[in-house]
Amino acid sequence: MYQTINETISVLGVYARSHFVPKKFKWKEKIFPIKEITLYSDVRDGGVKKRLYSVVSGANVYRLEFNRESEKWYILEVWVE
Amino acid sequence: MSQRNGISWRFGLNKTILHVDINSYFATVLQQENPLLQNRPLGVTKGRGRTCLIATSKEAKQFGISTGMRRSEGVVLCPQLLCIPASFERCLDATKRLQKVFKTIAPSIYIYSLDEAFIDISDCRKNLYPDAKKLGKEIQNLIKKELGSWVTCNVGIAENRLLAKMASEVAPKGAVLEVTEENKDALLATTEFKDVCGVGYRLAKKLARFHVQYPYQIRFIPQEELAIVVGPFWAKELLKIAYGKETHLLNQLDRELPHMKSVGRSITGYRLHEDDAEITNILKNLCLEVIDKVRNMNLAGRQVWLGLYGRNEYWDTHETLQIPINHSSELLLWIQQLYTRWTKKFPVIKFAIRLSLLENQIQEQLLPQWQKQEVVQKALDDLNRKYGLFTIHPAAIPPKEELIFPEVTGFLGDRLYQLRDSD
Repeated sequence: MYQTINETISVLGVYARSHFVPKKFKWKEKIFPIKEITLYSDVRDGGVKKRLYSVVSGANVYRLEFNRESEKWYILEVWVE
Repeated sequence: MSQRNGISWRFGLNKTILHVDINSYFATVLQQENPLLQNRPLGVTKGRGRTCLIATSKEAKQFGISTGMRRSEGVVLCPQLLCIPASFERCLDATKRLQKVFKTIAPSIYIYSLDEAFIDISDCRKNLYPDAKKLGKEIQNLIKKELGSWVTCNVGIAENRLLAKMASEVAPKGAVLEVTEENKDALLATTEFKDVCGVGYRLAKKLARFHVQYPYQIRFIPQEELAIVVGPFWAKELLKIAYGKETHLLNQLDRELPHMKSVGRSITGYRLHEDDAEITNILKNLCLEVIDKVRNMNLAGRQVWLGLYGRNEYWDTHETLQIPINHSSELLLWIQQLYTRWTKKFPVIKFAIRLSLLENQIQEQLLPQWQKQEVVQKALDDLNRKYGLFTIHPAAIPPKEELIFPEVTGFLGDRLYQLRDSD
């Protein structure tokens, strides 16, 4: 089941073919390298655009959010068996 | 008639329609997002705490778990069944991305539901896609490239939408099936009515009582006898289906609607509600969503409808107004008024409201009271647009964390609204 976290994080990534590709994120002073972006989705909250990334880091799956209005990154959820 | 690449062509007459159906969409998207869910039996519910399975993964289907079952029934068939809430907004985004992919194939496409689309390649088949089956395979690869390798789809190819959809329904998962003159009758003789677009559960059941299970059988039933059983409309429609011709329902897709005719919202509660305050709060919440949609499309409506459903009871009422409305304060007031008409009360499980007779809001009204309301509503719209939906809402509505937020339905009844940015 997904465990809700909803905390701000720092993200490091690269721009490739006019897209930002997150490569690693820092959460609770720990760095998580992103092995794979399994899916991204553009969603809206009213007029606020957000991009959600489902990513694999180590053996876990996380959902990250980039708020395009505030330009902040969040870790939303982590998959916990 | 000429022969080319093994395909018969009657220039200008033959249509070629592709129907793309993503396999187990809601479950597949969740599995694509999370590789730890792949190859596992998965049930998808509408939200946390819900028990009805609105979709199941390919693996769950192998255990006989199907859409519409309760979670508890699924667990009996497969104890390791995992149930996860659907993400409608992420699925809608995936559909929008698919729409873009389909538009690169042909200009004439129709998103039929969240996970289905028709692509009409009639005009470009001759020059671009002489081999439609090859195109079907290409589409499957394009979808994998866009959404991920776990996402598979069926592609049905035929001369019309009815047969194309039928073909993709009965094809094995991840297959491309083309309906030709040679296999058309076989398809009509082996596809059960439940897999025929437009034939509902009740009609299929009614026909089954007379041992009619396949469209082909209809050819041998006299029209008059059929009309007695299913009525004159369905007698005609069933005959069309029996010969693989497009039905009225699918022909309706060609109508171009300038805008939505009505915007409604319903929700089923987690429990029965008897408290007036609770019921009206839920209705007010639904009003906000309806008004947000209506205003986003620059429309206003003249008919307000309210429906309440109990365990076995149902009540509804409506009011047709002289002046169209599109302010939340106006709709809230009307819903409140309609609610007072409800006298024979019963515990409510499902709540529904609708604003219909929608028309374009082309002219502002001159009444000072209306103008004041418009100023307030515009301020609300701006703030909610900037800081997120329902950030600011009337005090009569519960706090934001208890609010009911918009949902996308699988059949995409509000496609004109949901896909408005992607056109």
